[in-house]
Amino acid sequence: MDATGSTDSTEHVNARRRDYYAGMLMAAVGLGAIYDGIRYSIGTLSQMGPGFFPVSIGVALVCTGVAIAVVARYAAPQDGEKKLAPERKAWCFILGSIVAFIVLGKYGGLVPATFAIVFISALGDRENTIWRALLLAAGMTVLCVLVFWWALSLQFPLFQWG
Amino acid sequence: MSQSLIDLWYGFGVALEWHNLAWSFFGVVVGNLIGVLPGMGPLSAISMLLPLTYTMHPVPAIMMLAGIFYGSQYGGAIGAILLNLPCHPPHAVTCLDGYPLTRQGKGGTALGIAMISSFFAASCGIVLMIFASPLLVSIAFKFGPAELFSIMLLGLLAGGTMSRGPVLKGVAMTLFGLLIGVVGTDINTGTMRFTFGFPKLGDGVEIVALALGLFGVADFLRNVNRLQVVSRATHVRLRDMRPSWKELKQAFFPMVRGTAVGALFGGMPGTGSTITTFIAYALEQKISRNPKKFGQGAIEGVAAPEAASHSKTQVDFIPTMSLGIPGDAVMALILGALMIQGIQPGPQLITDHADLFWGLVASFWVGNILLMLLNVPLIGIWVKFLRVPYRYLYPSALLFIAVGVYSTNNSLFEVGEVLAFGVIGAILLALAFPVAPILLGFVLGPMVEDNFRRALLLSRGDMAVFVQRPISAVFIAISVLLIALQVGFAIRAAIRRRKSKPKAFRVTGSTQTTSHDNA
Amino acid sequence: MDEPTRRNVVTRRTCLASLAALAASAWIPAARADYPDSPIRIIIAFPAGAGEAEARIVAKTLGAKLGQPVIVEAHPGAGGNIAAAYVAKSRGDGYTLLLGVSTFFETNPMIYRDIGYKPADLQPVSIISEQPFLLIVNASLPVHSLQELIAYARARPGKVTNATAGPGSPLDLIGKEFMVRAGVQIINVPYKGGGEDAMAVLGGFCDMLFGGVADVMAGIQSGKMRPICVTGSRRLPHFPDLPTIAEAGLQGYDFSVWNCLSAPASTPAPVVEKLHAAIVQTMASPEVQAGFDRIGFFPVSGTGAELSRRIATETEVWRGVLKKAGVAPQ
Repeated sequence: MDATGSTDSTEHVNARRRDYYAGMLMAAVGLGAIYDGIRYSIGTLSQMGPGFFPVSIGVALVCTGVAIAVVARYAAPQDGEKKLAPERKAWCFILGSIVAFIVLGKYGGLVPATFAIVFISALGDRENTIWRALLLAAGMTVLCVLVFWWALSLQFPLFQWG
Repeated sequence: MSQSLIDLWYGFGVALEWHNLAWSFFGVVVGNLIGVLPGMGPLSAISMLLPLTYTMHPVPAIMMLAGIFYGSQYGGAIGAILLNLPCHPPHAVTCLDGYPLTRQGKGGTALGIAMISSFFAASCGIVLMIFASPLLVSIAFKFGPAELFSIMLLGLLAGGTMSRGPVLKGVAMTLFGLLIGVVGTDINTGTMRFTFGFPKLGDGVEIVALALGLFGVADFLRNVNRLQVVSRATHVRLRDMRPSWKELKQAFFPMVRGTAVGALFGGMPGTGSTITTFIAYALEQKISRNPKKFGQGAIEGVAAPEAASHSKTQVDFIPTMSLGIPGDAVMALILGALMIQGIQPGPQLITDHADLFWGLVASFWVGNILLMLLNVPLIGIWVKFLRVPYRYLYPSALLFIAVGVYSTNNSLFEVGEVLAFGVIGAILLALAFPVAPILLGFVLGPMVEDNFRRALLLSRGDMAVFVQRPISAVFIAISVLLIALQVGFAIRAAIRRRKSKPKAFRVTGSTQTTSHDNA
Repeated sequence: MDEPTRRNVVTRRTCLASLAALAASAWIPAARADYPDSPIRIIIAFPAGAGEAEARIVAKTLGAKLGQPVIVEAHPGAGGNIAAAYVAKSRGDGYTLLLGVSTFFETNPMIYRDIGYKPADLQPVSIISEQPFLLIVNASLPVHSLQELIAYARARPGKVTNATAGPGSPLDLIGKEFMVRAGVQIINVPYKGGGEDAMAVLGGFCDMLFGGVADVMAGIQSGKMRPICVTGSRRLPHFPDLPTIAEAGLQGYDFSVWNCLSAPASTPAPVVEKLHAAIVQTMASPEVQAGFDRIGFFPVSGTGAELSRRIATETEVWRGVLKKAGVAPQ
């Protein structure tokens, strides 16, 4: 997963930019924590309210994030790791497979859910053919049912309807 | 003391009885296998096998349950080292150095060291249990909220600065972990914080989901289509499957230190195994002469946490058996099992049910030996697994993660948490953040906050309590020292940098960052 | 061993059942002619481990009486709402039951803004246990009876500490009510439950605690904890000399937590009746009596209607307590 735009050298990630974004992200998260934390009463140091801790973490995060970004800005240009092409299709498949597991787990049962997660995520790999993915999914489903459902009495109906 | 030895001898007699031994063995094997499955920890395993114990006599029943417990600890290390998959959160820290060792083709060595450390620590733990139970219990009582706060604070500081490379990024991740730890219900006021309307989040993020998402799913996202096989060693030499003498010597003192840390934390209820392993790791790194090697395959980084986790497991039994106070959820389950069997844990457990207690203690040792005998030959087989092409490995691992996480609390929501943290982890890794400190912050955060507030509540708002109580004062002093040192180093580095050309600049650190580095 | 037979039965039967379901999915009647003919699940709200003992004891005997295995399944979270909502939304066919704690029905609706289900979706089948609590003090306190405790606390306002399991939990509310009625000012120190509060008193960090028998028994036996009285209306068999709070001086103070088995409201009456009959037999059986005795619960049984009335009355009592304690809905 690369983190920078395309105007850099084609070989390496621009470490400065990457770190700059990293710092800004942390600062943003920190701001979010402060914003949300203020809604709970803060109290004082010796009488801490529920909001005190989150807000202090938020403040610390903002400081740290800004520090990272500032340091990155003034750093010498340095090459980060080799830039790798983003595997967008594979990521969609992997994440989609987990979603499928959840949805099918709730509405379909253990068997469709396990089949789906293995099948869909396996399709994410470029070297897996549909047939291979199917075989792998079928095999793992059988294994899963044996190990989890039969041997360990996992409480997950094999099939269910809605 | 000699009475204890006599009792122990008697205990061995009980443990080695055919019937008890068989159940011990069963528990150990099952625990080991379950431990290898990601997401399934001893809690799931024990809870699933508990009904078996109803028809059994209490002695073999408890031996079996205990066997599952420490057996699963052995199994957990396997996934962590070979696949960067912490099958159980305490093993997350073993990933940090175990996985790089695997990538270097030395997975077998790492496994061997883990097994040996575990056995060593378990043995020491047993000895402690026998001879030092009352001492450990009395130490535990000296740790009130103020002391716990100070220790956890030190742990946070040590852990936050433990990652190799940019200190700022490690600190940021620890803070991020603290924030995730805040999600849930505030114990002092009952307010729900950061739950975004999800009732399930009212109890906080599930640690298993967090660990597997950050370490497992994030890793898959990073490695898919980029990794052919996990371990490139085409010809696994026998040498690589067993640790060499040199490596054993390297690992010895970390083992000892790890055991000590585990024993200390085992006596303190409310501290989990995850904290223990992190602190053991951080301690090793801090006192090492060559801290840079951690995160790249340092044997010490595997030996210490594994030793800590195993000695904690053993020592955990002490407050449970002698006070009836379970140190954590697994102990609570075992306690429940004992009570169903009609055994009341407490100080008279040792006298009323001598065969149970001493048989159990003896069975720990027998069980650990069995585990060693079982696992060492299996190392070769586990390592062969790594030759399986990654494209078959990761979908299967995903399945185990999903089912494993589900089985923890029968909740599909938590599988969703894995998804969320997988994405978050992948983004953070791409930005060259180390992911391990998140787990540390997550675990320590609530303890730090709760104990701070509780200490103040008990001292009626007097802040001086933290330095008035001696143990607490010591830890606060060390923390302050640590901060001063870090700041000092940073200033010194900045001055040095100002003087020379900006080449060796600390923050952007390494030139090669991969998902299992902590750059 | 029971286990292997149960598994075989489940595997075969459930495969057959799935195939049958495939053929006639929409038309499975809610009440099968011969209930029960497949395993029943009791859903509990505690994470696997802590609160399971009671469920498992009941499950074992109930299963024997009904002729089908009864499995315990944990759906922890949200103070019990997750488990309750799960059962409330399940099919009312008698195969999914909830081990409900009184707090789910009485205090949760007032503490949580949204409990995730409509209380009318659950019907209580029978109460199964009552759990009174013990008022415990650290043994080093020069207090041997309730009156002494009250005097001690009155002499030191704001100094005596009570370990609780978190605001809104029944123990916390019991403690607050005690303070109001006894007219003392005690500081509540919340812990995360799971025995941590008992540990605090053992270690001397807190002075007193309201605790369940199982949690404190070991502490009492070690001599570090001293029981003062019982919060319910009956004395405990383990401590026949221990007075109830009402006897010891605080009139009208009677709090205990009870557990019940509930089913989805749509469960047909004949199924409920059969279940109820089996439960009554179960709670009267010697194994359950013995098992509950060890964990400090009183086994009881009653009709669903009785329980509904009890819920209504007790809810009003808790409403008053909550208002006085100032706990607002989350």
